[in-house]
Amino acid sequence: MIPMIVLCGIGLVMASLLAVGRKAFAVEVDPRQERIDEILPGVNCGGCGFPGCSGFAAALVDGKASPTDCAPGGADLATELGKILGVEVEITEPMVALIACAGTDKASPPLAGYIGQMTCAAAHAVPGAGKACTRGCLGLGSCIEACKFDAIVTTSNGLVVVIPEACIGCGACVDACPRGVIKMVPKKETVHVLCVNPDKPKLVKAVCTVGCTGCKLCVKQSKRFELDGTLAHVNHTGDEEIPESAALACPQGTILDSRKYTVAAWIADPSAREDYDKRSVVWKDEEKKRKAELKKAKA
Amino acid sequence: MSTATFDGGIHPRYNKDRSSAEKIRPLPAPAQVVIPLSQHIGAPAKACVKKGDDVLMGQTIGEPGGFVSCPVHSSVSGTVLSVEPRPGAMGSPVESVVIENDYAERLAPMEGLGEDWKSATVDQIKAAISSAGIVGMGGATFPTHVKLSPPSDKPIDTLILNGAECEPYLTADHRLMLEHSDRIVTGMKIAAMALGASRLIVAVEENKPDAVEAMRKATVSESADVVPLAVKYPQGAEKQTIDACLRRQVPSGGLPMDVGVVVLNVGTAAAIAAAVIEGRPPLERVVTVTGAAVSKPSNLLVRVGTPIGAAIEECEGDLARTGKLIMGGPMMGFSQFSVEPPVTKGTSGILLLEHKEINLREPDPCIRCGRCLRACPMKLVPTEIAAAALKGTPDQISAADVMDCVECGSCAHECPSRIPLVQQIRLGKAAVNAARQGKG
Repeated sequence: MIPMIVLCGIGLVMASLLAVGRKAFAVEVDPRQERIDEILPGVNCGGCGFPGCSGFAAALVDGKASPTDCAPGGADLATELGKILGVEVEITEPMVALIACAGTDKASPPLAGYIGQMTCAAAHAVPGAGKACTRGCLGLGSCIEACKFDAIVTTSNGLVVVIPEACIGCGACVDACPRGVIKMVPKKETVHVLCVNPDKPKLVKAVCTVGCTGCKLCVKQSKRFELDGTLAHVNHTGDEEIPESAALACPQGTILDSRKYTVAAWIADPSAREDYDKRSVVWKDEEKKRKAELKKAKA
Repeated sequence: MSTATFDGGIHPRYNKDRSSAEKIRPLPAPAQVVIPLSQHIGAPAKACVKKGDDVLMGQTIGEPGGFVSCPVHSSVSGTVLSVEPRPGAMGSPVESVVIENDYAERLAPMEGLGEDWKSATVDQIKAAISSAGIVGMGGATFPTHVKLSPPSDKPIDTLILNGAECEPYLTADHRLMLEHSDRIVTGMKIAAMALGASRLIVAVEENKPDAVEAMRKATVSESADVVPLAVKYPQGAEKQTIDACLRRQVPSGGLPMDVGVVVLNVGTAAAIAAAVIEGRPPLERVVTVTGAAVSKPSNLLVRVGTPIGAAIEECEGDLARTGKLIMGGPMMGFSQFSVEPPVTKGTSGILLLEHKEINLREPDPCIRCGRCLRACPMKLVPTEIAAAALKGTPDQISAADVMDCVECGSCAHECPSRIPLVQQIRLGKAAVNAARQGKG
């Protein structure tokens, strides 16, 4: 009997100590942080630059992060967060990752066999490993490992592609690429230059059949194209619709028109290229005729 | 007494007998030489000739780009065709001077100290070595004049000539010791004078008894010891050579000069003799061309700037049978994807290995057998460094002592899972260096 009473007594004393302690040493948490924590996606992707979603919540409350920094949450979440924090939120354009390289192992054949550490950073450090082009995608998929949303897949011909529907725009893949091939582009952008090789046209042509040579033919079709040395890129700030002719005019077939072909088809499906080649020939003929008529009219 | 050696290390198949009996013979100079301006560790040389210039054999065509740098000389006489990036031994393009050979062999005036070198000052000797652009001919290509200029608070008492040649396949140093032992000994005496070193050691692996004998004969009237070393890779790595010969350990992050030692390759010693006595820069070097895909394994005296393709042709190498083409030794050399890169001052070998000589198996997971730990001559834990290099932060990689790795490749050679440990460790080194540079 006595041991029972002693045990119960100890229990009571401890319980009351705990109850007092809970009140006396309570950690103050901003109630907003708990509410934010609840509505965050909870995928801990790290895209915001803070350690996990709870880290982001704490940073938000401290004013060190902006509600728009959470890419997986998108615009809806940003508005919600703004409400909780009592700040105005300016909704930014949703972005997606783009592998800006169409150099398959057929377009840019490997120089030699590579056996070793099968990560992009390792292969990048070994000259001669990978394809002839030393600027483009190595296709070993370090970005796939970095992607928490399974939005990047390998193709059968030595490249990787981002599935725009699955990409939430966290940007983790951009840092994983040792060659800087991955760019963040607005989700609504329809036309992309799939090349990052800034070398002289002669050098680009020597290593890849689909590399940008800086010929400026796309610039003539749309003002949205800009030239950076001998490398074209799309200026995303403009609103003007890029005409289909921009892609068709490219002599190298470097420009992807995602209104016509998905990026996966453009890279891996030969019928997409065949279709493009046909359309390109037709367009070039029409363009010739049009120019000839213009000349006639002038004369 | 057992033969001197170090702890750790491995016993790869040496395959040296193919070419070890072949006398050094000169390879005719090619019609065009491509001379890289960076054939050494340190700042690249700056070209001091331009397209269309007439150059003499031995003329300086590149001025050193700093103290840790070296001048570069033309290995033929002729006309400069261009100064442009050309494929180098490391795979990436290197700024190079392309010279068309006129086969006139017009020599540039060379001023050596002659036999008077014994009465020359240390500065005169160092100047002769520096202006001849001598680098470590064992393959590391560190500028020799820097090695011979230790700070005054680090007195050098011992000079070790390294004739270990522990890399499998290579026999270039072996042949040099047999055929030019006197020249090597002269170079050693010059270097010892420049350093003020009193103790001279010639270290040779005991699988070359004829070379040990030849060096003993050549040093009979000198106070030098010829030390036979156990046959083990990497016996010729300088820290391991010092450990074996003197039982001194170079501290972590330190250099041999911290324990009062300078190690020179035997080829470097021979080059020093030529530079100081005749004023002749290293215009050619001994290159071992061997491997199962080579019909006539040879030790060739090749002009610097000769494309490796010319040497392969001379030795009847069959590229179709070649599984791996390597410049340097099989353990630390560089695989090549073309026969364009030129022979440089540091090219000790050209290997055409057949598929049966190499292992191209994909890596398997680590089975924690610990063979890499036993193999490591630096007493490191390769698996830990590699794990940190792949997943860790620069601080974690540093903590695994990544910087003490000499990249000898023993761990990767022993690994039953064929894990590319050295490659992973190199990635770790790059990450640590990048982080340090970012901070500095």
